[in-house]
Amino acid sequence: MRHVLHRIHLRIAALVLSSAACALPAQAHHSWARYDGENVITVTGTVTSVEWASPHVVMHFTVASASGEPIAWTMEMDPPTLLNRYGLRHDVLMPGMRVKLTGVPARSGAPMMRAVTVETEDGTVYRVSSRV
Amino acid sequence: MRAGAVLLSILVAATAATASFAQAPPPAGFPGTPPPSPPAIIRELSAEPAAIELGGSATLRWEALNAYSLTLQPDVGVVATRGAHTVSPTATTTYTLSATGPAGATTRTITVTVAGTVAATTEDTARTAATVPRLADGKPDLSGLYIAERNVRLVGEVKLVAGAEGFRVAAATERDAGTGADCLPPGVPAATMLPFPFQIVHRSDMVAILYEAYHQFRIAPIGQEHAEYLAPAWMGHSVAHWDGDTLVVDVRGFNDRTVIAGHRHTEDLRVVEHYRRTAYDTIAYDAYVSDPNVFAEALHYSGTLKLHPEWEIGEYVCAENNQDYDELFEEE
Repeated sequence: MRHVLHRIHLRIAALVLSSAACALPAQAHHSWARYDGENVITVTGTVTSVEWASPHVVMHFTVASASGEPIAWTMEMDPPTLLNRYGLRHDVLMPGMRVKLTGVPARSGAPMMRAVTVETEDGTVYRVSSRV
Repeated sequence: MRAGAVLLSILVAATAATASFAQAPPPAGFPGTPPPSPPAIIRELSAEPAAIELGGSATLRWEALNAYSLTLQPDVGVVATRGAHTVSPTATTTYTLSATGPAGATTRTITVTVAGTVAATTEDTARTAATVPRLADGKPDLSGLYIAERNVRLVGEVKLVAGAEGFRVAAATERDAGTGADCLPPGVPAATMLPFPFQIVHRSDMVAILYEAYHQFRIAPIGQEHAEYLAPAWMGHSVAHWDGDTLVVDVRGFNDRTVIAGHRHTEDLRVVEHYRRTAYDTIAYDAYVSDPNVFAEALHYSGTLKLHPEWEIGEYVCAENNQDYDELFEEE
């Protein structure tokens, strides 16, 4: 289950109670450290769902494996306020759409990536990261 | 390489840079070799109706993608990424929409024909550096919506006092998601340096800064001193005064929870910010960060804040979609 907000709440509470000398929590949303920045990839897949919310818009999609079986992927991009300023509205990316995503993959090998552009079937390329 | 992953190949359709405003700053912060930025695209520029009688009006509509800055000339000025504007030209007029993004600029034109007239000679109506607005007391008015777009940077090196090495925060590793964690406030000057805009509301007796990121705010009375007791706060406590045409904001009373230049700090942290509106669309920003328990010399951050009158502060509810990243990054 991807949504585990109750765990997030517990973690925030733990952080608030901790002293400044304690280590930071191991999980957070902002760092790119878990992505391989030198390995820019392009992945083509089919959108299954989009979570249009802060701190990052998260899109789930499937990519066909060599045997044709769908592999579930997750992609994150900038938050809604920034995407809106780039021109990407919340009603553009919809389930069932074919998309081509450019970005950087998780170092862990998990089917997870941080996208910087999204190309839709009509050839339109959307900027989805402030870093490109 | 996992299924579906191939090396990037995106063709960037470069277009002529004919915009009348400064080029957008280059993107920063990509953790490796960045792919090309997508080109700015003007998807629509229309006039309805395209022909009018003298005294009539037409509605211009536009939509752009991947643009950092847009102007519609003549008569309209800086515009948002999509919108509509009613014009009433007194002669046939060609309107030019210029869209600038990280990959360059592009333009498109549309002509509104006014019956019985000839094409008008037009001039850009962009405001210039000579028009820095002023408050009623004559001081520069900083009001407006600005963004630093990552161009506010640390100048020089971090020098620690002896024995302060323990304040250094280890560099983010693959398993460490970093220090901007869990939707907590970033502190000062970090809030200014994020790729999110903020609204400055300025009166003669106070300045308020409303940040889109994390929905943080600061209110600095002008001409007042700090209270004797300042409860430790993520964003500190701010007071301001003028030094000529520079507004100096003194921030104290921080908690010790934020990270500055890769270092933790104590509650003795102090940040002195300088805001100087050097042009209608630009504020020169400097911040001096000191903590005698950590830094041997004050850290100096410097950069420019760019005005974006066409934007509005958006809703950024950070807790809305914060996720369990250890799960997301698990090998499956």
